[in-house]
This record gives sequence, C-alpha cells and structure tokens, in this order.
Amino acid sequence: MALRSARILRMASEATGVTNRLLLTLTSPGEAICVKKPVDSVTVPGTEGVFTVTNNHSLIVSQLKAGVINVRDGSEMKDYFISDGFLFFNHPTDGSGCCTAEVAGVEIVPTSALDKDRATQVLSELMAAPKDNEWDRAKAQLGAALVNQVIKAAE
Amino acid sequence: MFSRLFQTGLRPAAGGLRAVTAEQTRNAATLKTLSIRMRAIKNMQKITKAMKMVATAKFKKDMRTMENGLPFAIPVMNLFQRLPVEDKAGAITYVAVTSDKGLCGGVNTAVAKQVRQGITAEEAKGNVSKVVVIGGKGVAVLKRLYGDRFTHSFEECSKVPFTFAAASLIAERLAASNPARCKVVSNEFKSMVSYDTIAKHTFTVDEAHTMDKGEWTKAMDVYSFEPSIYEVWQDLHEFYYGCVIYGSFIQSTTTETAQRMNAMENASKNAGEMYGKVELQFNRARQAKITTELCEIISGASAV
Repeated sequence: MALRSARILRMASEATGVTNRLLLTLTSPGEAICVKKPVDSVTVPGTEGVFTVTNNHSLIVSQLKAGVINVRDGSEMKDYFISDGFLFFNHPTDGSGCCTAEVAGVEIVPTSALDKDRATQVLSELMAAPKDNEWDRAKAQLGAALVNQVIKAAE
Repeated sequence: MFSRLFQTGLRPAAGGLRAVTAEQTRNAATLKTLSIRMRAIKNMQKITKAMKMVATAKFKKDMRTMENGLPFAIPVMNLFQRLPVEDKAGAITYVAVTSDKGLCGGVNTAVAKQVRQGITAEEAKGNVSKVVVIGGKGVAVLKRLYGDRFTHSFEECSKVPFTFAAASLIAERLAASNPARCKVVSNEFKSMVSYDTIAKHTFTVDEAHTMDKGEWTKAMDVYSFEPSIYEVWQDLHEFYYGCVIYGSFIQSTTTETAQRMNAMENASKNAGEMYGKVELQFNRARQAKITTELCEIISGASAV
C-alpha cells in the first residue's frame, strides 16, 4: 500500500503537460526527494562558488561541495543540505521547453533535519581523534569541513 | 530444483505401486512410503510458500530502493552515454553482477552465460579478458572455467542492505585495476515477470584518454564543466563507476527477488500437483488393501 501511494505521489510530482519550466530531480542513493518536479530556480553550492540555475540556462556539469541547496517554486522556498555530488543541467529532448536539472548527491537531507548539537559533538570528536597517519589526517580534514558546513546550515 | 526433487522423489513410489498391484501384497509398506512422500511434499510446499512470502516482502523493499536509487545513478550514466562506443582491440574486464542466493529462476545463469559468450568472443579475437564477480552464485558458476581470469570477487554483498558506499568500494577496486575496456553484465528489471540480461559498455579512463578528439569534443564540449573538465574528470569518472555498479546492483537485486517470487510460486504449484498425484496413488493403494482384506475375510468365512 505504501509502495503504491509512493508511486502515485511520484507520478503526480512528475511533470505532465508542463511547459517552459525547470524540471528538478533531487536525489541521493537512498532517497529520491523529487523527480522532474517543475520549479522556478535552484541554487546549488558549486565547488567554485554558489550559483543559481533557471530554465534555459546553458548546459552545465558542476561538482558540488557541502552546503545548502535552495529550491524556489513561486513564493515557496525549500532548503536541503548536500554533502557532495554533481549537478547535470540538460536541455529539453522534447518540445516542452522544460530543461532538466539533476542533482545527484551522496547525502541530501532537508536542513530542518540537521542537528547542530550532534554536529558540534562530532566536530570535537574529530578534532580529538589521533592523527598518526595520512588517512586519519585526511579523514579529520574532510570531516571537519563537512561538519562545519552542517553547523552553518543548521543555524 | 524443487520440481526435480519432487519428480525424483515420486519415481520409487510409483514403481513400488506397480509392483504392489502386480503381486497383490498387503500394501502396508507402499502406504507407508506414500504417506512419507506426501508428508515430504507438503513440507516442501510449506517451505516454498514461506520463501515466496519472504520474497514478496523483500521485493517491495527492493523495488522502493530501485525507484529511489535509479534517478540518482542515471544522470551521470546519460552523460557518459553521449560518448561514442569505439570497437577497439585490447584487454577487457567483465563485471558480472549476480546474487548470493539461488532458487531465483535463471537470473544468475543468464549473467554467467552472457559473460561466457563475451569472453569466448573476445578471446577468439585475441584479446585478454579479466573477470570481476559480484555475488556468490556468479563466483561458483564462473570459477570453474574462468577462475584464472578472476581479478576481484565480492561475496555476501546482499547480507546487509547495499549502499552507495559498498558500490563505491567495488568501483574503487575496479578503477584501481585500470581496465582498458569494461563491460558490466547485469539483469535489467523490466517487470515482475520479465528482465533483460545486458552487457553494458562502461567507459574507462583509458578509453576516454585515447578517444578521437573530434568525437570527444562533439560529445562533451557542449557542456561547461565546473571546475574545468581536466580538474573534475577523475572525480566524475569515479562517480560514474560507482553509479554504474550501484544502478546495476539494485536492478539485479530487484530482478532476483521478483524471479524468486515467480520460482517459488511455480514450485508451490508443482508441489500441489505432485501432492494430488501421490494422494491419488495413496488412496488407490489404501482401497486395494481394504479390498484384499475384505476378500480374505469373505473367503475365510465361506471356508468355515
């Protein structure tokens, strides 16, 4: 029953007869937050800086770093946190005029689900952990960068 | 497998019955054999029914994982599909995506067959072939013929829910072996009853480097890459390997459970049919025994 209702919801969220809108796919391996959902714009944290894409943007493949994805649909704004991933922007393959923005993130969660206290605790654990070898140092450095962004996004 | 079991299990009972009717014995031994056989079939039917129910529950979960996971894996695969496939000579790595458990129809056999055919064709052309196997059944089937070509094998991947981290681990090993050419052989889920076994051409770093520059430009220069393509390519390629493995595995798992459901349903049906046949023989034997006993009583009474 749950599966059936999830399918119905996804089908409803997929664009049917929509023209000249940006179709956003926001997915992580475990969860497809939205699939081809018509939106106005999406702001993503690229490794070379935060940028916004709208419909008819030029074709782009961008690597994303940890940060907040902002999805705007009319007056409705939604924020998601992404650990890292890629954005693929493609032009329409049919005559609908709807470009597709596909965000594939290793982890994507709504910013409301972030726990600032837990993130602070993890950061202090990472800092206190021994850094004897290169792997430990890399883990601490990458972990600290990610957790700092989690704390920033949770504020 | 279960149907074979039933058939082999049934044969001595049927033979025994023929012997019994010919010799007109008391049928007690045959009745006992048949009742044991009936109990065995009933137990097997219970097992297959339970397995079907487990597969049904797992299928729902796997289907959900696939529906969520595929939109994640497909974008990067679509990007790489823009590159033209060049038929080159050179070493080739086959990645066989199979399951850890059997009793799921011919899903693993189909993958093994495709790998075997691929390797035979490549080796006939004089190309060196290597094999990476995911799943215990694939290892068991391919080890005998291609054990010397194995570079990596991964078993018990389904013991815990398959994650992108696990796929990345496999992809990392694959990337580290730096294959010249690569094909991922897996089952693509189509519906509850059907699937396609496909050998998906997977672009390797080597292929990307040696590709015709004109073709490369036509496929990739329409995109602006951030950071520049030279900086991001390695990360993107590793992500691509991970997504190919992840996408193939979740589709294969869904196919496996769907096929197990079908296989177990057929096994349960066959068990029911077998039970009916043996029950008929049992009843006939029982009737023959009663008739014999009645005849003996009547003839005994008339003799007095």
